[in-house]
Amino acid sequence: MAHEATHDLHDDHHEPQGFFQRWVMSTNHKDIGTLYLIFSLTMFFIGGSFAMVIRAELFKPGLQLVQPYFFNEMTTMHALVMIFGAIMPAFVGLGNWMIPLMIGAPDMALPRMNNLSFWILPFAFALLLSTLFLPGGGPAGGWTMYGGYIVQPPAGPPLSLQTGSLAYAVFAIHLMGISSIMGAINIIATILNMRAPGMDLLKMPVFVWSWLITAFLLIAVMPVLAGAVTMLLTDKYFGTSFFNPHGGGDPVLYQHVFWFFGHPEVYIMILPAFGIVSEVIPTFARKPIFGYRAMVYAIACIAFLSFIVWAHHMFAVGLPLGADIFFMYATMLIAVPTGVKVFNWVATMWGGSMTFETPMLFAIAFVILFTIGGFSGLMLALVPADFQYHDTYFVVAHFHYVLVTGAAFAIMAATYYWLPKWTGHMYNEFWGKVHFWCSVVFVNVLFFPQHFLGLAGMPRRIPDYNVAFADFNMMSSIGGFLFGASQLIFLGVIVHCAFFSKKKATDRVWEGARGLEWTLSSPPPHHSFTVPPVVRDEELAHGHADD
Amino acid sequence: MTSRVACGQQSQQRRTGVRRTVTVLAIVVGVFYLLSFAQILLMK
Amino acid sequence: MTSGSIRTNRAGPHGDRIRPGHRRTTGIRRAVAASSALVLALAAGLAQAAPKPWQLNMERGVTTWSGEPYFLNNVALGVCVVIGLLVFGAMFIAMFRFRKSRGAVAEKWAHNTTVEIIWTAIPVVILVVLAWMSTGGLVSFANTTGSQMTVKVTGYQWKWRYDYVDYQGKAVSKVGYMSKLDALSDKTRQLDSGMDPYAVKTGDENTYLLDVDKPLVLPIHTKIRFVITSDDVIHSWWVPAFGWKMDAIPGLVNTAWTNINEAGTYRGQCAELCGQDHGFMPIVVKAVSQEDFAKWLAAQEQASAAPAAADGPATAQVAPPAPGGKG
Repeated sequence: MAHEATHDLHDDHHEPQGFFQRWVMSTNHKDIGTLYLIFSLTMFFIGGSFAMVIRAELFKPGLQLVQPYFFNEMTTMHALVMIFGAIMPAFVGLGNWMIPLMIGAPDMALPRMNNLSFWILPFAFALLLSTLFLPGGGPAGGWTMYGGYIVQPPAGPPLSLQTGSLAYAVFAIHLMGISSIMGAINIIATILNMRAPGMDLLKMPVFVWSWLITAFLLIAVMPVLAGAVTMLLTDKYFGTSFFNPHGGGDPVLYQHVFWFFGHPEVYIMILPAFGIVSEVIPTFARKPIFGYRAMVYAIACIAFLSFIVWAHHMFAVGLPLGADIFFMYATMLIAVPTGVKVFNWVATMWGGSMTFETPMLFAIAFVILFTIGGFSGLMLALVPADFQYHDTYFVVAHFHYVLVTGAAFAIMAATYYWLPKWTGHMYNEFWGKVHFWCSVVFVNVLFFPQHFLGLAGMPRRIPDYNVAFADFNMMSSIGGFLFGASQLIFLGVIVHCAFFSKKKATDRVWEGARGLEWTLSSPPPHHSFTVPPVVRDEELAHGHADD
Repeated sequence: MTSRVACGQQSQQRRTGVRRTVTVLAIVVGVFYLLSFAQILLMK
Repeated sequence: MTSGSIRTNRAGPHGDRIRPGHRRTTGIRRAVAASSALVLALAAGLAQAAPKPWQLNMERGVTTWSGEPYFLNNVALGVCVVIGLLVFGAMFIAMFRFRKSRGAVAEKWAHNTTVEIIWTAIPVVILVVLAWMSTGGLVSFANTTGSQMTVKVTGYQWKWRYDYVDYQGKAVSKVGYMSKLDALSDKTRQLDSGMDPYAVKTGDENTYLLDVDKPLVLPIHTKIRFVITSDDVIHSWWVPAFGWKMDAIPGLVNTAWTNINEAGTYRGQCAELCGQDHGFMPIVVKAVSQEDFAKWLAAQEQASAAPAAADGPATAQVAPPAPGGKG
């Protein structure tokens, strides 16, 4: 965002840069973080427009707007764009911007690689989105790309499935994976080596901790995804039969491999959100986070459990009884550390001195609505009940509660929280609050009725439905349109803050803010902490080792 | 340019640390990729 | 539909190819008509399990097992609501009491081992109870032994095939047929058809996208074992009233069982994305009494035996109006 103000603060050891040099060749963590965030916002609106198509078609029974195949393309692309294009790059952008500032490092450990890992993304998404214009259309097998669907050899009518989109999608996923892995290596190397003297691991902000753990998850699972989609590719183009039953392959194997990646992936999209909320709530409660160590251990524990629960996405494939039981128990265990986190956030508020600026509102909404998503997650873990819930709108409601009101709300909280620090100007609090209230009301109108639809028996990924589902679908669609429109307010607030706001932000910005990033000016100098800062424990949010 | 890029790693100690971390992580990623793709070769 | 006839030959040459107009099939026609009338008569006033407008919760289901998910769902929902009220209640109290605008001064503590142990331990206890309850249901679901009947379910893009394998210990001879979306729904669901989904009715019940040309007919009070597979891509066979869904996976055979308590018509849909018409391959189960089922099955067997003797393959596999399909 606007760095005009920062130009004159540049260190004097380099010459003024042109636009191209500044933004395309940048090795500066702040500029790359900004690029990531802008990219993510763009993808948020592109993926959101796909969601609008979906909700418009589902507005009432009967097909009014799109063919079923195009509907499937929309659900598939909506998921891929939102997961890999909006949520993940937003967290990487926030990490890029904030981690060096929070640990007192001058930049990321590997600035050139940082540039590369960002610039891969626009190309990856250009590839992915271009498939929509291919003859035959884009991938339409759902974001999970279950092999049995895609590699099916031409047999009768579904010739439209046999498009070249798989190759594009797989290549795009490889690129995203490489980008994520480079980003993750960079973050780990930065956190482990670049901390200012005195910034012990257990004095780091929870956000930094959450990113450290997330980065390990990324490193562990991205290669698995790469392997899985490559096997899909060879099945389709090189005559192998990993997953193709017509050649003796096993379609369920794909699901195992995919979800071995997929479940850690969903935690990759939520752990940094935990970190953000753990920064925002203490700031506005003016009280240190409750149980700092428990929070860190809970994140680590959730990350570990994420590797042993993958088959809970597959309870309907006919797993052996023992596997059903194991994955059910393991999945239920996740409720314990997650519960600890929620309780600790509440305990942080208890006895505080709270004010309710926009970031705090989003953080509180996160705690409540993410917990609702967690509740439905617990219900989904119970295998016999999951036999009913599986692949219905109940699941759709569940993961949108954890991803939209969870991850996306946390990203919005982070944006409002750090935007004054980034731009040096305050955003408009009134419009921020309007954005919050519109979002929080409409997102519930959008997703809460989907629980009922799922319980009543509406499957996922269908373009049309029986009239019994009509009322809640119409309600959901109205909520969807309004939620989508509310995000234009978000865009407006950001643009206003970056380019037009007259109100200068103070260095600390928020009265209760603690941590190294607030000791810098707003906006921070282009090159900050070129000399490692002296870390004083009382400046840190968690400076006391006995917490 | 170069001097600016490297400014994140002022001390020799940091440089060694970063190098070591990245080497380990690169090996880990390499092994994971290898495992993932070895399936393809072995099963074929 | 005609494109599917090749497929039908592979899957099994009989059952789905009876058509009333075929010569030398008068007897069959009579048998089919008789069984249709029978089922139609039975269906009147019997249980209907289909989604209802404004339905808020899962249905109880109609089988000996379907209470398990329903019960678990309700218990888990209750537990979640109670925990939710406590946690959110505490949050709202905190947000009210500890506001800066009310002069609240932040306290310094950030740690309390006792409460942390308590709120780690209590969820563990709740989870153990929930786990114990769901394990029972899971074990009983996995036990497909002692079944009195076997039905093979095969998924196709985008229809289902049902083959009756055995009934009461006796192999069933060549009874099997395709079951696909009914013609009226299919016409209505086309893009810009201009037809009203609300007008697709069976009796006074709206069956838009939830009706088939030929339902699966099953006896009640019988432990029925399903063997479920697919001929092309992954599908999932789901009748909510039975309480479970099971993926139909090409190259694999899954098993599940049910024991229906009440006669009636139960509707479901494919529950795994299987291509463009995934949303248009419903499932309808017609549950009838054992006596009626035996009669229906005998009629079907007789009907399928006759065209085997008849000359030439059937040119169309369009089945006769299903026995009670519109009942």
